[in-house]
Amino acid sequence: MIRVEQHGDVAEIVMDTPPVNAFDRPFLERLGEALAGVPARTRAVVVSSAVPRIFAAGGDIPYMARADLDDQMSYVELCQEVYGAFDHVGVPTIAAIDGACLGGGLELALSCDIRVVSPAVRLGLPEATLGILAGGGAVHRIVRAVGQAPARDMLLTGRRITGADAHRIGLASRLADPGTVTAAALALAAGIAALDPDAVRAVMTEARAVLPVGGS
Amino acid sequence: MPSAPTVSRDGAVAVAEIGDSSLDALVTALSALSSDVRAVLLPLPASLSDATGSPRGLAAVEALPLPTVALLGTRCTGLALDLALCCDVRIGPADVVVSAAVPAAGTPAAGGAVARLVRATGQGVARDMLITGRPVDAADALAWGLVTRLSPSASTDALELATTLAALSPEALAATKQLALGASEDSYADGLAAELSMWRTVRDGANAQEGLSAFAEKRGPRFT
Repeated sequence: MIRVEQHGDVAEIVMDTPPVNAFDRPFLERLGEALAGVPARTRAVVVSSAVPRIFAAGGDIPYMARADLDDQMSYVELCQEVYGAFDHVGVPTIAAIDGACLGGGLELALSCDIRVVSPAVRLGLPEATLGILAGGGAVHRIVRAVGQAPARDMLLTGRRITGADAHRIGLASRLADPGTVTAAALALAAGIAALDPDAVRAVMTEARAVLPVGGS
Repeated sequence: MPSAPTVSRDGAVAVAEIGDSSLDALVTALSALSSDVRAVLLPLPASLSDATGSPRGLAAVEALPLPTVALLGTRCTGLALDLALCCDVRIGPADVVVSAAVPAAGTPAAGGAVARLVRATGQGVARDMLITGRPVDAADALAWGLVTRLSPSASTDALELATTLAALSPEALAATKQLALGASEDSYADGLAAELSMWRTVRDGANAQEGLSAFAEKRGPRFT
């Protein structure tokens, strides 16, 4: 389902639940455990997918369509808890996006410090078009990542943008060719792992805590 | 004597043209929209007289609980850009050029406009635009979010998008918009808590059930 591969001081969390890495409750719990369980020597974490053409395609809609409200609330709280763990983990996190990255998949990617993307993949937050909210923290994370200007178009229309567009607006800060995204992310992580860990942690923690312009 | 804004209807979309009237007049017209309007399309002139600016006017347009689509012409300058930035989506032609006003004596920026541009694009781009009034071409405008979509048939696409938005769940859109606007102001922890609480409120409504059921049943949703 999800496994952790250790590459020296870099931990790679590999999502491998065909067909779409759907974020059902067991998957999210395992994702949280995988992050919490990376070895102490870990200096950077990469999140990748082993499912071809998919990073993660989001929440478990059939479940949400039938479950009772309290049960669903605990599911959304679990989403916030797991994504929030990426906000607080003590090492940089990198999302390697070489396939569709939708809904919860993009919520997870937005919880990472750095996003590497290939040009033709699709990214989007379709929740509003389904009559619900992206309640896992994505509304705040995407505004913090790219500002109001591109964020409200994506949030309200549910549009799917390409990796190339995501790179253009800063939603992803690095582009890599298809098939090389995870390798690029691992190389980036290895470079980070070679830096002074205290200095990296200090700047990362400070950057994560900066409020949006005009925030209080 | 400036004319009043023109508001026409295309299904559930209100098309509101400010023309040479004032922002306050536009806000008055928008506040009188009937309750079956679900989206607003704002075709913008290239520029608006600075005398028509008002802090409350811009803030009121931004805070509309309906999705707003700005349709830009080939130029969008100063207060017209400020108004565009109050909208959720900005569509312009492929050769659009946008700019903040060139600083000039006696024409201070309309209230909130400076902060809004900074929040939209970040300090790096905003200060250059605000201090120099430089024109920004379509490619940079798209990259910086000053326009969010470019199209050779911008007016057709803008109406089509507004019509699509008008068919979505109004409470999901209103809540998402309120949270997104809040994300530039509130604390991160408070914001995440608000997402949870509004998630529950919206999910408890009939439209959310319809949207999720339709998706699960692989059919188109029919929101009310």
